[in-house]
Amino acid sequence: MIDREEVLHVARLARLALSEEEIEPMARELSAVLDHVAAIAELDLENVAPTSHVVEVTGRLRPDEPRPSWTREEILAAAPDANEDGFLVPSPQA
Amino acid sequence: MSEQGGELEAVIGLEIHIQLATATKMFCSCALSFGDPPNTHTCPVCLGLPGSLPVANARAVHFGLMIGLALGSELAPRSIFHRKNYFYPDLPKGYQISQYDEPLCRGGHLGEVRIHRVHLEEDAAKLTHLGASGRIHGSDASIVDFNRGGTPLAEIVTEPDLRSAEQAGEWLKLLRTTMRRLGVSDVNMEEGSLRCDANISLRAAGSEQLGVKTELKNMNSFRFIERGIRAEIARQQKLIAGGGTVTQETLHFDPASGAITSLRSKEEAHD
Amino acid sequence: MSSDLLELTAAQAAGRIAAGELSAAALFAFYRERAAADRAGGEDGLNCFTWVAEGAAADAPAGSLGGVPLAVKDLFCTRGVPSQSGSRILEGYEPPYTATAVERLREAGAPLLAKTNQDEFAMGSSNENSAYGPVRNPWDRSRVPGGSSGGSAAAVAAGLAPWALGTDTGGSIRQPAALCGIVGLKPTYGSVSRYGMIAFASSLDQAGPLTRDVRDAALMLAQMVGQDSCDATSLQFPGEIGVPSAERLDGVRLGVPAELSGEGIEAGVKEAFDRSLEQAAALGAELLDVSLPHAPHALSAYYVLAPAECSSNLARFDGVRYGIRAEGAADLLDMYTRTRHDGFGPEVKRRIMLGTYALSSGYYDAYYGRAQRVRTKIAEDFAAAFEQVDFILTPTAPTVAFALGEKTGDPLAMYLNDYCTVPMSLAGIPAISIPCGLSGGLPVGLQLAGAAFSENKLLDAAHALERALAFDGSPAHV
Repeated sequence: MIDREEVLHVARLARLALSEEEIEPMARELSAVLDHVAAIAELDLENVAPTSHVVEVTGRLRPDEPRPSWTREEILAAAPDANEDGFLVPSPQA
Repeated sequence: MSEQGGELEAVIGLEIHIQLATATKMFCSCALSFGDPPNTHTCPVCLGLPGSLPVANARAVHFGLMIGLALGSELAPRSIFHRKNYFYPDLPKGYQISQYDEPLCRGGHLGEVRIHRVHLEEDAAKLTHLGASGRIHGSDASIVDFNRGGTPLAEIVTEPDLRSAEQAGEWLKLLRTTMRRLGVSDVNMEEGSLRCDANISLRAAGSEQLGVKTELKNMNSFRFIERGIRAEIARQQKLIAGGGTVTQETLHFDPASGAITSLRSKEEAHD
Repeated sequence: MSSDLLELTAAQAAGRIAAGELSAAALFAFYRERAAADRAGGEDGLNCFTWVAEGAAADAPAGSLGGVPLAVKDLFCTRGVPSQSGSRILEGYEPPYTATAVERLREAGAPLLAKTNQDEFAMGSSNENSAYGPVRNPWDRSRVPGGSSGGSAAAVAAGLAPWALGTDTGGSIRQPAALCGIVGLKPTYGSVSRYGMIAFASSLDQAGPLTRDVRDAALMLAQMVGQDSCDATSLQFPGEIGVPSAERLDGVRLGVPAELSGEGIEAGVKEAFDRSLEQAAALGAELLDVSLPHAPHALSAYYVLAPAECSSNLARFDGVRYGIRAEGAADLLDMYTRTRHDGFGPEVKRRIMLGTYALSSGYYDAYYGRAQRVRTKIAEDFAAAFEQVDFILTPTAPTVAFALGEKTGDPLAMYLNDYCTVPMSLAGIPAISIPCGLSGGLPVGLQLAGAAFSENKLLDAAHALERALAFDGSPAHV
């Protein structure tokens, strides 16, 4: 029920490269799971509110009081690529 | 300004982002800053580190409600944040926390212009193109500075009640004065604390029907806003006069050349 | 002395330390050596750990946990210690901060002993989806320990750690606890802070204890619960978690839902479950049939909601700020897509795809919208049941531990492991798994679920049953 084109479209939305060998099994497995979950389409859910929060929590806000930020060294330590100022990425304009 | 003898009128709506004058970011306790060295105002939350969670800034919510009251909006009894998912290096979590179907404020007006909604969201980080000087692995590099990322924004959306570039400019000045008096924002266009997008379409004068609109993005001074809107109105008039039709798209106005160009790259990232 | 130490529950060890009969340092060294041996054992070990402390514990404060060392699931952020969530995309990642739950337990006197292996990003029911290799079940090395907290469960069952911290999204504490013959508790959603837990599905994820017995679970939970200013969804637990002491179940009404205790449950599990019901009745409990009419649809709703949330939660793994980045990318898009291709394993990719599909325009209402409504109905089913009964009893998992590799080729068969545990997750209610017997020499788990914030009563009931069932918790080889 999900074809190759749909798999590639969704993979693009998810920013996920798929190798040629991964595409067909992915289509098959996604179809199997979606077939299974399609059972909920048969339930009568008229007038049922969707759950947005499992437990009601209200008014949980934070006071607007600054706390020290982290040092640049700390935050850049785990970066795959960085210079002294910040994180480097291949340019989106390139 | 004629098409088969009929007059065309411009229909303009504005989307204004104002940075709120809080001490800290929307969802974390990092101090807001302007002009400081890059990446010196960050923490696990505004960097989107694994496991971190947002907690909303009470004063930002308060400022949002003040804006709503000043504009005569209806204030939401409850307000829910949503995730707007797209991939871009200026967006550390892969989504922007914004409001969707339950904005903080609905309706209202300022002067003759009706307000559609006001909602809260977080600003993106700053991406600076380094060009060939910062090449990584054979391609040009950009540097990401997360100082601005997570700054609280109020997005004010008007109804399409403006009819000319001049009127839009005047009204925006009124909005700026109002926000400044409220003390909710510095509303400084040069520092980016006031940013404006315009939705522009043309229709036969007197008609109730709206034409196809274009969105003119991120104009960063009052002068450019008026010039940009004027240029886009002229472009659409010429297009229609030549027998063409306007296509819905996002546009960029280059104040240096006066040129209007299509801007699609980031849109493609959206679902 | 060594075998003596191994016999102690965490509560007993804490008691001995408090009485001055045992040094916290000696206990730490004892378990550190056992954990390090498993880690060094490679194929001969159980592969429970992704990191083991190198020396003595960083001086743990003397709290009520008395210095009893703690194994922590990999997905909890621990400052300066690898926290990879079982994924290659975070290989070697050392966070600059520590998760609230881990920090609270450390302050209460439980120093960090080791990080435990898990299914990648907590997605799995067999621990075979770890980038750091599968964990083996100490009861039978050719079988899985369950998942996703498989390393935590196997470590406790094998006596490689006195107790462990895990997380449960759809059964990830309870199911491995069941398959390894130990106790696992998923608390009420919101009672333990999620700050510093690498998120899988935020509306479902909850941290909880994996322990040798019910008292240890209560002891650990007591130090974990509470509101956290860093997690806006965390709640103040009403009252304190006490020490469970009940020995009888007089006047307790136990509900058995046909939907979760009949079809699909293998015979040996069903037999052990039925014997547990007899024990419960002998302890004075009243057994009643209850109905959870929407429970059979819970798995379907879960496999829409959890992937949808994960597809958004895992968007941040983009090769920009931490983790691995694919080499030699031609441009930004290429960098994103190849980093995520190389960094995520097959099950994570499958769920990201499923979630992205379910959230994409055109399918949102049919999948995500409906699943959220099913979730509401499931919560209503439980609310109605708890008007009639105090707790609901089901088998924890439909089967005992299965063979490594048996279900890896069939995602749906794997998902069915969560059939009995997912409904409670969707409703956000607390549930505990305790071992209730053996089937073919392998442990069977009994699940008790209660209304939100009923942990104290739930632990008491579990304690009474645990005593009556008198399960022998040591796998033969230890």
